[in-house]
Parts: sequence; C-alpha cells; structure tokens
Amino acid sequence: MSKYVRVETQIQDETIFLQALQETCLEEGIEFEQGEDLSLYGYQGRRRPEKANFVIRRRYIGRSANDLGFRRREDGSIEAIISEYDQRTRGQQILNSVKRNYAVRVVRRAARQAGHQVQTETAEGAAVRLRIRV
Amino acid sequence: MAEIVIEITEDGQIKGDIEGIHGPDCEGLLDFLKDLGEVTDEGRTRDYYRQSRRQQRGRERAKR
Repeated sequence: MSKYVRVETQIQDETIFLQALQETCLEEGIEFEQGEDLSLYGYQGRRRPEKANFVIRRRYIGRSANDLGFRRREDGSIEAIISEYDQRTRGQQILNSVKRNYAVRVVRRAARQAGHQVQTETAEGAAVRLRIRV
Repeated sequence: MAEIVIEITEDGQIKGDIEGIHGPDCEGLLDFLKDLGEVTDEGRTRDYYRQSRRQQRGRERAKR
C-alpha cells in the first residue's frame, strides 16, 4: 500500500439513498414509510418532537425501540434520526446496513465516472471490498 | 498488479488504498472517493517514498 484515504460517507443523493433503504428493508424483511413531516414515536408510543421524510417504525426494530427516521436537510442531504438507546440495538444495525448499501452504490458510480471498472466485489463479513485494476 | 482496493466498512465508511503503484504515479488516483463524504484521514505510506527514492536513483544514473 502506498497511498490511502478514509472517508466518512455522507448521504447526499436521495435517489441512491432510497435504493439503499429499499435494499436494506428487503434484506431485513421490514418496511418503511415515506412522506413529508412524518411523526416519530418513542418506545411507549409517545410522539417525539422530530419529523422525518422516511421512517422505519419501531415494531420492525424491537420491543423497546423507537422509530428510526431519516430527514432531508435543506441542502438535500439526508440525516438519520436515531435515539441514543437504539444506537445500541438492532436500530443501529439497520442504520449501518442502509449506510453500507448507500456507500457501495455511490462508490460504484464514482468509480465508473472516473473511468475505472470494478473488477471484483466481495463481501467480507458485513464489510464489502471492491478491487479496481489501474 | 496495480490496484485500487476499496473497503466499505460495516457502518458504511469508505477506505481506499493503492497497491502496486509507488511514488508520484499514485497521486490523484483516490480523488474520486473524496467527494463522497468527509475525508477523515489521508496519507502516504513508507512504500510511496521507498519507490520514489529508487526511481530517483534510476533517474540520476540515467543522467550520468
């Protein structure tokens, strides 16, 4: 290895985010809601102050879970709304899966746009490794 | 064989490494990943400079 870069992925493309969310929901056997200003509910069924554009309801996450939301920011990027409690539960695993599926898609696209061709793509546990010959 | 190896971690972070190319030939090859989020770390390993010095010696010999 001679040069390296580490990037914290930011969800900037809503179309690709939606594809990643659909992929995760299919893999997990769960559903999501899409709309404007959707309310989020906590583990006791109480409405929380946050609003979201995409929501995975808590019944799909766990008995004591809160809804997992995604909100569109003014600049068009997407931010996750996850409670502190759910960062230690299946909610975080679902969020990680969405972020991973999103990252794989945007990396493939960015590589293609840079004129590269992905040679191999392999799953290594929950991680994904892509190799590009140059 | 020269390759860009990209790992998407469990939580969706991106790690890009260059293998098999050394020195200035590496420059710019990972730039396409930088627009995908916030760059948290970036650098050159010892391999980068080792090859650069070798190439430099080769160039010096060629001049003589």
